[in-house]
Amino acid sequence: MTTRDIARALLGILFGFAVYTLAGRIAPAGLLVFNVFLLVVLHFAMTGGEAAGAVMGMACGLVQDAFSRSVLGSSGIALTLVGYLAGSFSQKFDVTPLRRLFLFLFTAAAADLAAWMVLSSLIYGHRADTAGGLLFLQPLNTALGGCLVFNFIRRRRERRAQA
Amino acid sequence: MPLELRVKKKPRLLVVLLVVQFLLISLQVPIGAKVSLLNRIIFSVLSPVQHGLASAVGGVRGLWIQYAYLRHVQRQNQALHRELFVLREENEFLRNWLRELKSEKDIRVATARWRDDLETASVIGLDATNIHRSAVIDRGTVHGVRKDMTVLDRNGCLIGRVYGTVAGREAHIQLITDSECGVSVLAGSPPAVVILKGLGDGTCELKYLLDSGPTLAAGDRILTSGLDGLYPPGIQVGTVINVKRDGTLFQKVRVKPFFDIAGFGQVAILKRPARDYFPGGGR
Repeated sequence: MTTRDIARALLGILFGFAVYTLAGRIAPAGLLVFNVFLLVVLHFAMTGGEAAGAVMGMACGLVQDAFSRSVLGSSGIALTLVGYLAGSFSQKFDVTPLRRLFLFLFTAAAADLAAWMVLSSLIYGHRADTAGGLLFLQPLNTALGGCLVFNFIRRRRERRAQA
Repeated sequence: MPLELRVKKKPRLLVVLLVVQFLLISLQVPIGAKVSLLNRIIFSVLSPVQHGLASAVGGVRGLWIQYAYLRHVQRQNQALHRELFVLREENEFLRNWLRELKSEKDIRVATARWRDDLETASVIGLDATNIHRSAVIDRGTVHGVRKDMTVLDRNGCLIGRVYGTVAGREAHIQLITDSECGVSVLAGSPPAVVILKGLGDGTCELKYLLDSGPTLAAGDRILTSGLDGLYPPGIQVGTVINVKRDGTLFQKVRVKPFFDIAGFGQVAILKRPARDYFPGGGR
């Protein structure tokens, strides 16, 4: 791991945090139906593999927990697991075609939500808050948003490589 | 490094990261007893960033309004808005006090000290996992904000309380809509003391209101009782939106709080402990 990798990781966390803060100011309900921290983790998992995914998962999860009423570590564990598995999967299979990318992101977002809900239920001893079911829209919206963002990044890279 | 070793190291890393976080969770038991040091560190490091971003957004908005649109009138308007905000809070609170207070002396003392007890703040962030659970405000220990202080909206209605994570210039508040939040309230006529519990979806429910207790109807107002020792008595909380009597021991009453999460802007923090707001309780 180089200094550049660490700087990239910190920038990624800051970017996720900035989007979360701005979304809270502009469209609060957007925070329920879209998980920007998960997209940051998945980006690092897809580009850096399972180790990068797991470490970024833990870092982003802890930030998410520190700025919520959750117990510190509950989102962290869910994102660490998803980051690791997503990194491992994306190293073995090509997930760049749009349809496959959508399926990959949707599955990862659904797995993250499921893991977080199970952990929250175990920790608090009651069913996790889903904000009247709005939280269940998170996998779909995160996958759609992720497809747009990751596709944009890929095309920009391709254009740069061609230039 | 041989490929096999590198492959083996990754599952180990995962196990280490998971064990660290499980240990972190176990250190926080009992849940809610205290905020962990790591939580405080992350909050203290990143909350100024959030503060800065929120100020930047406010700044961009302000720039447009101030320079492109009647600069002096806007400034005057802001001062009047602030004044109106404080007066509304004062008015609402004193109305509730007048119902309880007996002597004129008490009212005079309360009026004189009111403004020193009130700190206005802006909401700069919402909960990262469920917006109905908590929020971050731009006032902290530097401004005299401490744990368990009551937070009200611009109309003097209850929002929640300051909880554990308080940084120098930022603090975390727990909303009454959080499912881990309970408030002692008065409901019905004659009033019964019941617990208002958040449901995590922007609404609350009344717990343990006996079926044989007071009859409630949609539109009835709910006020704090002050008996929990956390919130002063007489603060408006919300209105009843739905009552169900299904033959069980307790009524099922759903309550919609008065504060609106989408319209969160300025809030007020009561800097005195709840007991000081009881008639004859030190004020």
